[in-house]
Amino acid sequence: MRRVMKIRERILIFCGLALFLFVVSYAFLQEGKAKKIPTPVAESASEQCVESREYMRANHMLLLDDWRHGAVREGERIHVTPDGRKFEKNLSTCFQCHGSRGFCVRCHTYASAKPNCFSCHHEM
Amino acid sequence: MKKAIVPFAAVLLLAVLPYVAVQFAGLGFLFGIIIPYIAIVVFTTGVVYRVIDWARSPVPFRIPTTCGQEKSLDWIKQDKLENPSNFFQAVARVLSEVLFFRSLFRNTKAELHDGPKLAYGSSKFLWLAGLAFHWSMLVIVLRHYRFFIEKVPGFVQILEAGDGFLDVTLPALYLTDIVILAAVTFLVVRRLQDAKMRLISLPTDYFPLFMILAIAVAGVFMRYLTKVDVMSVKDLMINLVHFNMTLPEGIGPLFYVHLFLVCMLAIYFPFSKLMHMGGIFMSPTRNLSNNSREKRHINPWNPDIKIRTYAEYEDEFREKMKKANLPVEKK
Repeated sequence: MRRVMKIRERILIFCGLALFLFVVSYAFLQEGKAKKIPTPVAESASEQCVESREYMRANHMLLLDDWRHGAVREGERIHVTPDGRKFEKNLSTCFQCHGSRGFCVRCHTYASAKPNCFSCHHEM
Repeated sequence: MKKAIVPFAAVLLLAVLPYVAVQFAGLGFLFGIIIPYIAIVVFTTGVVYRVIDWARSPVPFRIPTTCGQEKSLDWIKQDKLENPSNFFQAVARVLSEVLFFRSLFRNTKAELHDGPKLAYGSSKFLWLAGLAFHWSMLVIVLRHYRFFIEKVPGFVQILEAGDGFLDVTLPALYLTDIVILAAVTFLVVRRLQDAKMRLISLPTDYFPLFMILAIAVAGVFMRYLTKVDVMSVKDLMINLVHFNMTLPEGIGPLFYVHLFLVCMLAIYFPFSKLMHMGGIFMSPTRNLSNNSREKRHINPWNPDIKIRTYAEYEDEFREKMKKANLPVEKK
């Protein structure tokens, strides 16, 4: 290389490259071990939930939102499943099998998805 | 139109490939683990290589493009940003370009009216859509750290909260998702609707646009509509960054479409126009200060030419010149 690159240019370019590499490898530099967070399951697994497990894993928030809307705005407090079982539209209905708020928090913290249930429902 | 259809078909093919391979051929390991590693290695080394290659390229002279008053006499006002005369002004100019696409703000469009009359008008939409797209892209990329880091860092949570502040739909609608879809669509339509733009557009212009659009659409579908198992997705990503090659079960095939398209874009990146990410910092027409009148810039690899003056010539041949009756300066 016959051209003499100025020191200042060289420092700038290497700072830029270092920043790029830092952003790309940021996740790789984090501490922690590769371990699977066990997905929590309901304690009384004998009884079936409102919907299938797959549906609930993907869409529980939609169901809860539907419940909230139904209970608070339309006074419909009973949820009837397609196969005729009845549930009270209430968070504590969920927690009868699903323990407590900790049941939600584990996954929600892991996936960084913030439910806004608990801004009103405090003690569960 | 062929120039747009071929890249479109290519993107479609790239999107279908992982879907079929994972769903029907069980190639999850290839698409979930091997290809992402290849992609990140190619992307990183490719970008670094190209930037270093540019850094090593000689820039012997000052060649900044300027459009303002150069630094001159004291009573003539210099346009410091358009015509930087020192290092810091040049840095400010590059940053204004990188962060706000300053030169694109001057974009004009030409129209031919009856007469025939040619009219130029200001056209800010390219600037606006470009800026909206790039900033959304940045926010979206940073937001994705939530899948790669077990304990999601604070800045990602702040970004998520700000991005989803409208708090409509479940899961919360991200503004950047809407903006990026709208902006990229505009950028595609802009190329397609005008005959002049169609003429100068190349497959390499359409391909990244279609790729980004496909990636965004797949992402939006996964988040809002068809859903994938986010927990397994994060497990996979955490595994990848800790070099644990186990593939969690039960991630929907749509995720592999998203991941594969991202990998392909990352692999394509260093070989393509997308290198403007590094190039914008490295362009000598932008990052040099215009001080040619203040400082003499000598081409550093000028060959060492041996100069022979007339006096030396005459010294050598004086006697012979005298004999041939040629005039000499020194008797």
